[in-house]
Amino acid sequence: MKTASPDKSLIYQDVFSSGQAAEPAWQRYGALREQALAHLAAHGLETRGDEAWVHGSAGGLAGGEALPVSGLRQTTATGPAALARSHRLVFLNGVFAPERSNVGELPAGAVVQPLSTGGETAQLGGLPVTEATGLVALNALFWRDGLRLELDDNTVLDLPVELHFINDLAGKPGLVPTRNLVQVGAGCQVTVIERHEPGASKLIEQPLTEVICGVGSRVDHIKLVGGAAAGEHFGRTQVVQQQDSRYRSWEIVTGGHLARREIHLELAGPGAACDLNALYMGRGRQRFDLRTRVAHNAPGCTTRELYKGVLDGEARGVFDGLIRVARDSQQTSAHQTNRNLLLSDDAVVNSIPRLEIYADDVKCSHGSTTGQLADEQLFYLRTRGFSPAEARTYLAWAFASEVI
Amino acid sequence: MSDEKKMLQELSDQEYKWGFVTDVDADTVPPGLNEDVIRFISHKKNEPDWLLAFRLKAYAHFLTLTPPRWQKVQYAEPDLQAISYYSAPKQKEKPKSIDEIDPEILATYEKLGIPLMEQKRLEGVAVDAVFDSVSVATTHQKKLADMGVLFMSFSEAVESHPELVRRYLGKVVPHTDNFYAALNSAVFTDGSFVYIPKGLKCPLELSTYFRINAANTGQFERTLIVADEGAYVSYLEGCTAPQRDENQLHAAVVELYVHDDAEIKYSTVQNWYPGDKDGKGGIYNFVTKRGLCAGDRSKISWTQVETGSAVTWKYPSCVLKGDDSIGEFYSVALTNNLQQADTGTKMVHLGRNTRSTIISKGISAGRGDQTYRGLVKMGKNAVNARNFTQCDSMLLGDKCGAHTMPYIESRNSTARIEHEATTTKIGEDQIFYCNQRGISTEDAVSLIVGGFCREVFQELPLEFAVEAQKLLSVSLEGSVG
Repeated sequence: MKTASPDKSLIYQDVFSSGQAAEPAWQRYGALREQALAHLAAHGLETRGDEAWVHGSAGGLAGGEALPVSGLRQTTATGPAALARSHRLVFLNGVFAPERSNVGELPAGAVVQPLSTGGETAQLGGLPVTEATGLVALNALFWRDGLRLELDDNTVLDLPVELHFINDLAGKPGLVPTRNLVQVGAGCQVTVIERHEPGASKLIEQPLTEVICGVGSRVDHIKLVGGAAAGEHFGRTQVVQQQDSRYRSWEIVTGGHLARREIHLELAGPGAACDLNALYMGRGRQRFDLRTRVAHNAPGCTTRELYKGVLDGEARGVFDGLIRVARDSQQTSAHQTNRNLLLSDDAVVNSIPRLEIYADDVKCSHGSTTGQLADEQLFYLRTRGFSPAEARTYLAWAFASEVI
Repeated sequence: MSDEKKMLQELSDQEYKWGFVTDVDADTVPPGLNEDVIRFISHKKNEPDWLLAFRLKAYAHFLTLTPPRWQKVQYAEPDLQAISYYSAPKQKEKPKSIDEIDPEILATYEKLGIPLMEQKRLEGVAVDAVFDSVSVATTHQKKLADMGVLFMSFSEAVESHPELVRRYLGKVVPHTDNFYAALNSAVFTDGSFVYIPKGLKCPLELSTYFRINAANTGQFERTLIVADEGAYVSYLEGCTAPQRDENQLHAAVVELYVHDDAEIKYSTVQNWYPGDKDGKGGIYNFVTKRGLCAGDRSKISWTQVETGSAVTWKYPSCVLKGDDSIGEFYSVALTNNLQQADTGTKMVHLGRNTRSTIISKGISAGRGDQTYRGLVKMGKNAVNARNFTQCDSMLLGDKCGAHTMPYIESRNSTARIEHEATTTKIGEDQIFYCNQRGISTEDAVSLIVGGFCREVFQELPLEFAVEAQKLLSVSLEGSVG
């Protein structure tokens, strides 16, 4: 079942070939874009029908006509406040904005630059976790820019790498895909912060980040989706972890009319560990969709997932997590937790925590709870002089703060 | 380690003990599925027009459906045209009493450990035996009838109580429900019908024993149990089939309908032929089981022990419509060799203060693959509804798989849902502890698995609990995790 038939992908082909001459970025990574075009031509944009879209919504992508917009590179939109000290790169409508960026001093062995500069890197799009899906192909076809972070072995970045993605298409509909590559060698340490603001309605933001964690490396990855509840966000992170590496992720989603975030992670070397956290807080008619796919393909790896949602108004939240333990991935430890707090009777939550286990010497568990604030706790705070609203706020805050 | 391998090998090599074939003359229609076959079945069973219309409507709908593929099992799809949809042991006339039943059939049930002779029966259990597609004997009929309990084969019920059958048939599982339910609605042949009148706590446990005997047939039985206001019944179901190289299809529909303050307890020990150790043959068990807690304070409890079938694919469900109604699901599933099971439950909370409990224990051995798939859904009006789910999986050996896929949906902020799942193997420390105290490794495994399944077994009626324990220990003989 496909919402966008292969015929509709002809539109993508047209836009791509007619825009290619004017878009230097689209002239790079030809093989990757060819592949994407072929995938879209053959399969269209699958946004329904299979397990990956249960309870999901493709929003403005469902029509299959969300297209990139050219010529809108300037904007007065300011975006979120920058950190005082960081290696900062700012992207306006998916294009690098040097005047707003400040990469600063880098230690030897570190490359922090826009993906649109320098030679092509063979690593891009080459991760084994990259399934051929319509969304990945759409991103691969149309991305213009993003981060390129490369660290030689044993390089440590003390300051975080901060990415701002600011979108403003002056009210026009459009698709803004961005692409980031984080490739760190053995023993490296780095923190990457992505800050997204989906922008106005009819705007669809689509970032895709690939992370390669070298042997014994430490990568912290923070993704914030904030701003107004208007645009749509389809974000995806693909991670491959080598032996003894540690990857920690925090996804904090509060903005966007519709936000879907996916993590596809492979524990490829023994002893690797990942720690995935998320907090999604929705109100009004916001719709958040968080999905994780973790593949334990080596023995002795660890996964810990904590995804928490707070939903008010008519908001809707989906958590769909799958941990797959391959045959011979013995001594695996994997724990997945999803907790949801419903503050309104019109909020809806869907939770699908899944385990697929093919090895016997494993410790795996998952838990999912959904409920409201406990009356006893509210009462306790009331007796100490807090108003009902205050009590609710504090308790919701306490619930959420476990993730942060 | 080599000990472990050897024992697992032994476990894998175990033969199916109920694989014999009974040689009885049977009336069997030629294989094929079409309207004529449906009319033939309906005619053969002397059915009223409305039932034929029900079948034909279901068949018309069935033709618009395609077989589902979302389940996590792999199998060669059964060729529905190669199945014979009616096979009945040949009899000159309907038997008046058990003495007139073909002795071969009785001997079969003896072999299965289901003596139909009432005098031999344990006091307190009434049995309806279904051989291939036809109910062959129902015991304790008179005693039950005196109390007002209707316990008879489905065809008998259609003849003697058509108004009841018509009122409840398809109310819980409509013919549009799914592919196999539609097929069943079109071609079902027999099954059991139970009606417990108002206020009666049925003192006997009712039991049905299903057996597929003939080759190339499928079994499509239909069970309908109705508990009127304040009634209670405990119902048991057991199944076996002969050993054949081809896969046979079992696509039953079970409907439970519970009025105010009533309770149905439904227990299954399923031991269909699972296929040989290379995965050849075996039963496809694609069953739709659902209960509707229609009345306030009603209760449905499903208990199942699944050890058989090549492919099991079923989700006994509860629709908790009445306020304060309760749904329970207790399951032990064992997959061995190449068996696959995708099983679980659905708890749909519609009424206020509805409660449900799900306890699922999965044991995978050999190259077995097992999935727990469950849905817990809190409707908009399910104020203060509660659910607790616990799914534990145990893996014996490194070639098997255990998967857990719960689907949880809440539309009410006062509803509370808890889900927990764990996957483990038997710890070496546990075995060591037992060994230290002079318990052999084999006994230790049996002990630990017994403990693992205890929560479910204690829900089973006594005799079934014994049978289930035995089944499990037979299957686990020599296995060390």
